[in-house]
Amino acid sequence: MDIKSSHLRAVEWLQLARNMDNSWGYLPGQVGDGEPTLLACAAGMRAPLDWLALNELHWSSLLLPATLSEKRLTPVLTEKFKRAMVVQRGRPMEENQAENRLDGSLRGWAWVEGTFSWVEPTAYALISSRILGDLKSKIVLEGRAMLLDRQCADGGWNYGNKEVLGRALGSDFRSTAWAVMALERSLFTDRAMTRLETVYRYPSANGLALTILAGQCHSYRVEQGIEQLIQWQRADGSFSGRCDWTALAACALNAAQNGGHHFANPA
Amino acid sequence: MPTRRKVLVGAAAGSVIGAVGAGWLMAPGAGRVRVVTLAVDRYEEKLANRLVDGLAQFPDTLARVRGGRVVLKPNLVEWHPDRPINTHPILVASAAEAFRRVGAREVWVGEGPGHIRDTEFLLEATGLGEYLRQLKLPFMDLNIDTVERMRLPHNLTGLKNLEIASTVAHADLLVSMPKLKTHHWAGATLSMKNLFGVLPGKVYGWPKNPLHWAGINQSILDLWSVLQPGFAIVDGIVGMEGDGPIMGQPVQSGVVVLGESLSAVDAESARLMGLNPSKIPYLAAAQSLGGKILPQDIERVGDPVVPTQFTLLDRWAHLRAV
Repeated sequence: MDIKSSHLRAVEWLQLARNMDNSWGYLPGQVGDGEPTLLACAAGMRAPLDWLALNELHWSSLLLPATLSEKRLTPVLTEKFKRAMVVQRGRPMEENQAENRLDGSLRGWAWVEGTFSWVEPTAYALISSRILGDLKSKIVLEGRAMLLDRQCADGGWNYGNKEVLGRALGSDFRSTAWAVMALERSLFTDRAMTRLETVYRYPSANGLALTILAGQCHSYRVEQGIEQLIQWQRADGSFSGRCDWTALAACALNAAQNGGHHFANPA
Repeated sequence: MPTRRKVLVGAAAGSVIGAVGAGWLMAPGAGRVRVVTLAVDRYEEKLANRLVDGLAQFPDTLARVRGGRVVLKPNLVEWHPDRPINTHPILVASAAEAFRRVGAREVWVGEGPGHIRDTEFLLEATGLGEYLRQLKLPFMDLNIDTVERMRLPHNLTGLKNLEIASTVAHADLLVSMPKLKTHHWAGATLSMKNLFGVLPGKVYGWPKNPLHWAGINQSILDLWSVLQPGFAIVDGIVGMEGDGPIMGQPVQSGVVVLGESLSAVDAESARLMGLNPSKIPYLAAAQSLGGKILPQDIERVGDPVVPTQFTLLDRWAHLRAV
């Protein structure tokens, strides 16, 4: 199957998986959640602006500018994002983190208000800030510094720490892919992409889609990933039957046809 | 109702009470809870037969299972080719088969890993995915499940309620299936700690950091309180010692432990690791909430199994049973 057909089938599946209130759950038929709904928007689905405005989006508010095109980002949703940038900021760590070799004073963003900073929500916040043109505010610079501080020895990112009790942790492709999308090319080495490309040996729908998106951000070759991703598509057009993963795959396939995507880093 | 403070004070007192001794193979007695130990030296298909024999020791559980929906909750954390981090897929598959044989209408497998969001990758890398397909077992990623708000009877965390995955909240029987492991933050991770995975990441994040803020021990106890009654099957055929739950070393401990009382199963499992359960804070505190952990409160039946002395990080050396 070619890229265009695969993309079309994924989009059609997403349209069928839409809830009556125009939101998406992680699985078809589930009540809507912020993350799958916003990722579906990034994949080109019509944005349920009322639903997004009325529902509590928690950490997924950090994805609002990253997933909605500029004209869909209403003033209400812009305010929602700005509020999330304040209330979702991670707590600084009070205890000395020398044994984990990280600077606990650096704050990124948290999954849940009042807790520590983690790689993925920090990456979401940085991508969204960049799309809004904020590259140099104090909290953006600190969030970027936090991401760089948490980079693992293998070049990628774990979900939070790079070491625990003096032992190095290996990186995870998902955190690595989002971190790579959040950072300028000059801030990480090729080892991060090499780490991501291990997904080709241990493929999954989510792993392949994110690796392709991360590669596309920085002009890496991703043909092998695209080929594998298309093979991973189910007969019904979905990727593993999940709305969030199908949306990410659709974003990757669309970018492979047309270039550029919502999370892309400007050159 | 015990207050948060009373429970924690009770936990400290428990570490004194705990030096009572192992008490293997005691005679059955009134008021005791039963724990079954099965000596098993390898992962193989006939494990289902052993588990059916073990389940026969629990008539109340069998009554709940017949015609009902059982949810198996293994411990899936991360994958590493040389480390026994996760509950072995053959034990999960065998438990599914055993519960079907004793009359379960449906058996599901559910897990919400605390670190890795890509459950598809974890299922395939660990080999569990292949067994799910072979046995036509439905799997629910509990991290993205719909949720049910459940009121905490003791509220030790101060969170008042927990949002539990609906698949678990609506099960007729939840079976916690941990790996027998040491844990660098909690001392040991067993069937009670394994319950963290029923909390959806979409609510609590990855890892489930609000629970760490509320206190790991308090969170374990609140979860255990709200999810009773349940059942536990501990995978101690190959356990993990040292820097668990991820970076430890394999240890051939040769045992499967099962029972209706999660605190009793965990206490016996701790003894089989050479640990004193009364020195593990959440187990000691469970006692003050009605959990059974003392040898005189537990009727251990099944195969005699000699404890394996699991190596411990220095910070947990005080857990060693004397």
